Amino acid sequence: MDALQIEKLTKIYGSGDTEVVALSDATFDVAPGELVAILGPSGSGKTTLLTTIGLVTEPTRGRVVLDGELIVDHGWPAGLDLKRVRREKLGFIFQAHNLIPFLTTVENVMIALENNGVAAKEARERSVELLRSLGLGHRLDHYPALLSGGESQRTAIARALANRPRVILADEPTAALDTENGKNVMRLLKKLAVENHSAILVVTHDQRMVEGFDRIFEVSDGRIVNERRNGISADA
Amino acid sequence: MNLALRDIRHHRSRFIQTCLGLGLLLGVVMSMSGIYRGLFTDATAVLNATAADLWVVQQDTSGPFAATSRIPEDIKYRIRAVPGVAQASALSFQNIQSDRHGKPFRFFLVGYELGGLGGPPVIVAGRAIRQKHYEIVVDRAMKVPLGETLRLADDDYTVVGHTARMVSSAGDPVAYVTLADAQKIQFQDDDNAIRNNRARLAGQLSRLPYLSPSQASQLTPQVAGIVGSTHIANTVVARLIPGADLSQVQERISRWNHFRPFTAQDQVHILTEGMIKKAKMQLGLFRAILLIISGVIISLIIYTMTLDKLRVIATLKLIGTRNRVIVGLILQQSLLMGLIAYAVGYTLIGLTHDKFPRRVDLVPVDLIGLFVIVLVICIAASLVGIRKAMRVEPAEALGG
Repeated sequence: MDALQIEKLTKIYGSGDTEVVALSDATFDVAPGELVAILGPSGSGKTTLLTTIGLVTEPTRGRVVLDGELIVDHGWPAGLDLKRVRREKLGFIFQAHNLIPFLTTVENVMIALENNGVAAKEARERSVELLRSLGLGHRLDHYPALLSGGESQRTAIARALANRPRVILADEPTAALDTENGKNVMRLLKKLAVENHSAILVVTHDQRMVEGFDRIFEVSDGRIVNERRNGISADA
Repeated sequence: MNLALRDIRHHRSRFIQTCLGLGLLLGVVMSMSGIYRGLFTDATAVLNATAADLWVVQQDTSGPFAATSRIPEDIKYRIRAVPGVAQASALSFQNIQSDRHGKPFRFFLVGYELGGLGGPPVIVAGRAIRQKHYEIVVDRAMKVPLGETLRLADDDYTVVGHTARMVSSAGDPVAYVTLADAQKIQFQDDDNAIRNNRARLAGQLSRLPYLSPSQASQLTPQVAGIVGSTHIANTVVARLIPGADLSQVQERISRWNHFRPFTAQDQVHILTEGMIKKAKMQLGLFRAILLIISGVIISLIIYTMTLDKLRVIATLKLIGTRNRVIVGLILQQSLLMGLIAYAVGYTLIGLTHDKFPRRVDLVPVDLIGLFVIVLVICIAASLVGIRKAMRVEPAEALGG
């Protein structure tokens, strides 16, 4: 079963003369363990695609099935608990890391687990294990302000992975990092996607980072204009 | 995980400073309540210490505390004869201000009959007055040591005992002398005035056509003695026999010309409603204003703290944190701030209330009432922040 199925996903802002089509008829599937890049210039609609999948922006039309659950059906289905879906099935990685400044590294990961009802002791053990596996064992009790950019991003990745979500959505995760750290983060994401069977969608406009992706969607003016798979291009 | 405590831990010094500031404000609110209660206690201190059932004063006055009252001392004999009266004593009250060691020295002087009503309720050092003249018992707050003499009118009075926490309705410490001494101090003219009055009286009598010069000269000292009599009191207080009907005794005395009997309850009403009502309203208004200021400050602080955390709240929402956790973050911080500030204020006022120049009575009901008000303010103040937090969109976590 695909981790994510997207069909004719469309987002239109305003109406009449002020109508802006931010995303138009996006259709694709993502398999578990797949690392997908959504590439495009600023204003092309790639972040809108990410936020509609992430249940942050309500789409105007289209369908999205996440891990077998219909989460978009020409808008959000009535009664859908958006927070539950985000908590249980989605993970988010941000450009600016978005770590909670008053929580330590380990607490930043723990909160994602506790949100899902994991008891504090178990949450701590799992968080420590996860952070150690990402090379942050020596930074467990540091506040985000004391972490380097790469360490902060790895902490954010740990938080996104904590609940073993089916899909991880990453918004420009390497934008605040230098090339070397950026490549390290991409390698890490690829490794984690395979290990955890999570589909990872990465929005980026950084062409340097696209080498390791399984598939690349190029977005322009709200449309997917090109799809590449392992170097094979298929114009949309 | 308690996010409120984590946030406070991270911004420890800012939070502590805020709590200290608020604590000072709440300490002032507590002191206002205490000062009001103290005003009441002070105002009724002499009244309560006297423990009389009836206060007979000059007709058409509200004496002896709220207005001047002068009645003949010997009316006490007539009052003692009223059925139901067990004991009646004359009392005199006067404010005295003089200089002592170059500083103004003010106190309230009570003249009482030895063995009668209205004397010092408790002697905390030294002894009570034993001699009919020239002994004085003073309140400890006057800081006059035992054995020292005070010059009042033309005589020296030796301090033989100390009372404690006895003050007049104006907050001045109370001193006690015998009624005879108090009458002399209050009503007796000085020597020059006596000589002048006698000469004036002699002149007037000598001009009367039906008196011979010899008769006029013999009458002068007699009349002067009557006119210059100091057997005057400000009030006569009475205590009733147990079971006697107070209203009947009061009604009977009120039928007499020239006198007005008040019950102790009437006096409390006169003192509290007449004399300290405005002060009470003033303090009440101050308290209300300070509580409003506290509420506004807590609201602003919580709102500002929430504004500082908008991106954090958006991130929490995006990663699926339940609303109750976010509400708890704001509400718990607000409540904790109020509780710590209350504790600071309470400690501060608890340590300093006896250093105030006037009595500050910290009454549990006031303290509990303020505690509840502070909790309500904190909850109300946090609503502003919670409203703001609930409106934050998870999308605000995205982007640079």
